[in-house]
Amino acid sequence: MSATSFKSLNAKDVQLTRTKLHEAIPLTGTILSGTYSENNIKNYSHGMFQSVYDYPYLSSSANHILDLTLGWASDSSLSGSTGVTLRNKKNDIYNEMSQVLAGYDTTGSINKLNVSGNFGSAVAADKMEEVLVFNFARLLTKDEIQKQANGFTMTLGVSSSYATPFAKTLTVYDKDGVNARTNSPAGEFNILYATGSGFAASSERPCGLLFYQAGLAVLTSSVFKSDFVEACQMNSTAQTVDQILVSGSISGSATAIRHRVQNISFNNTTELNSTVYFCRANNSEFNYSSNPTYLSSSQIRVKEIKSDNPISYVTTVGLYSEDNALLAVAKLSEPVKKTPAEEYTLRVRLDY
Amino acid sequence: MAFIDNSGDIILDAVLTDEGRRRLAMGDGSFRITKFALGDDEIDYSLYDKTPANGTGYEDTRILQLPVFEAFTNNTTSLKNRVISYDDNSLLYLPVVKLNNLLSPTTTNASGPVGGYFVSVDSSTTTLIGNLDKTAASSNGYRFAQAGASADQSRLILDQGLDTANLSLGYLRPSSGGNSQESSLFESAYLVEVDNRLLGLTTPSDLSVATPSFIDDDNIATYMFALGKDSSYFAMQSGGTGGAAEPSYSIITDTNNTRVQNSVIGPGDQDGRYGSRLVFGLRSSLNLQTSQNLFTRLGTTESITVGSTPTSFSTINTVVRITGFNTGYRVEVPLKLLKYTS
Repeated sequence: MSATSFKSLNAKDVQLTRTKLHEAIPLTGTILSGTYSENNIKNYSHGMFQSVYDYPYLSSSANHILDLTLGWASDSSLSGSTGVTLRNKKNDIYNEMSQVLAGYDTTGSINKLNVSGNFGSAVAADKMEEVLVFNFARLLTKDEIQKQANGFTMTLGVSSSYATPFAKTLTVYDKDGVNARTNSPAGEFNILYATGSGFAASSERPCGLLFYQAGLAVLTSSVFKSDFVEACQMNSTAQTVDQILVSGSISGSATAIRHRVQNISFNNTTELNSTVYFCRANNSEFNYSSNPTYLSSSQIRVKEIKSDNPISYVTTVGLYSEDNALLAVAKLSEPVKKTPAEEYTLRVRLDY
Repeated sequence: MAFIDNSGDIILDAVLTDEGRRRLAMGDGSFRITKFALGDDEIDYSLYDKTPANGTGYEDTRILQLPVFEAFTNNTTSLKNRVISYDDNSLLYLPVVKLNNLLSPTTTNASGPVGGYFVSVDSSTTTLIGNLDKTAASSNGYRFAQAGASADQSRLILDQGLDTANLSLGYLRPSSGGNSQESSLFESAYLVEVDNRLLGLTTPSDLSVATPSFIDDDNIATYMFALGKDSSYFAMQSGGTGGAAEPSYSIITDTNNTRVQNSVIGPGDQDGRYGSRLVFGLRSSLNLQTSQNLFTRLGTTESITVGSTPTSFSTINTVVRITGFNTGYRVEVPLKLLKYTS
């Protein structure tokens, strides 16, 4: 048999695997409240939402963190208010969110967002008609927010005072984790529950929805009302959340909400599809080298006499196509000594 | 109770090369991993100490301490040296591949690339060089790659074999008819890599342009020449092994029974083992022949003395890599491409 430097991989040498990689994403309130003199907060002329960056957004180092927006249904209790600012845009935002997240009923009408998770439910108390939306960037959520009990948490300042919003807090969290609901067209979701100052033990209340694959949290505006803890003064003119939803711009209202976010944390999930190639170096294989330093006048340097065992020192694994193109490379951390007395199986993992 | 030794199972993370990413993006099924090879690019085997001062067991201490680079993602710069499998563990000598600079042409021009050639890329440059240096056509470190150049003018010759004074002069044979141990040392296929923007390869017999196996994302063309399928690139050994390429790869002796030195294999008159001889021609690309564009982008202008006349040329430095497909030995031939611009 002639020399060979390649070894074919057969079907048993190739294994497909899928693993989930999780990263912890802690968002401190200082980023949302505008650490950089609001230079990390981007408002748009269309006024439909507000973007939060982790650094002044004009810098190329800035990363997009999330978008904040809000809206209410056209038949919400706020619709009869006078002095409404950007009525159409707030209605449009609500409808867009409902359409994407809650889908349609049998007549083709858009379902309303529902805190029970039953989007077609007629129970009026469960409908979320005025919502605050935290739309997390794909950069953070990757493939999805990890489904994990208490994995997603958001702490809101719900003290009535505008100056000291965190004197009382409300913790919003994902209670059910892996037991996710599947009746949303936007993928899996769960109900967000809230507990906080003044709540009796185990008396958490549903306050919104968390959509894992969409990377999106929807809260009812009631979290800033006395329905939960206290009626909050949302800005320096002591407007209530209903008042800013009516008369404020979306960007201005988003700023008011950011003022009351103490922190957000969750884990993201990246699905890694891997192919593992089992590169088997049997005892009789890969014991010589074509390295120019291997020879001195054609004689093998690591042998004194013919009966000495040949030795090679492997540092690299190359994966090749049939036409000998090098498609992937893996490196060992240190040279591995290969002699006829040793066999190795190098498990080379290629992630996609 | 001791723990089980699991050191024989090693998990590594691989990175795609640029060519791998390109093929994956093409989505045409060309990204298909079918085989693997092992490499030892970082290893300097001269550090192996057969008589260590600290006693047996310390022969490879310095080798094992060598740090290993992270993976290169360029497909042509990784795994330059591959680890080889031979069935026989008692081999003491392994074959090498060397550029033949004994036969016409030679590389005697001291100002040329070390171990390589000046290469004229067009007819006017070839004519000028021929006028200034009458010996250039057959020697003096020049090759001529313009369309119409003869086989003698454009060819490179690579000799393979056991380059040692410890073995008597003879042949390596690919078949079991020869020494069975040495038959595994005969190289029967070569990979040749060349920058496809600059050069192509030609068959030495009829000067037809060869077709590369593939051209990667960096425009490096890889040619595969295998004895049998591509015999016209292989020279014939006396005894019938090889192909139609000239000059033949036979041991020639004079009237005193002394070897006529026609091979770079074997340091003395009566030693070395001839393996295979690869012969191919160079052909400059149409772009180089008709345009200054690539010289402007990739090269420079410099004065080179031809004969005794300093002459200004546009130049590009490049390299041709020849790798034994089975034995893995790799040699690089540096080339300086010349284009005369009056």
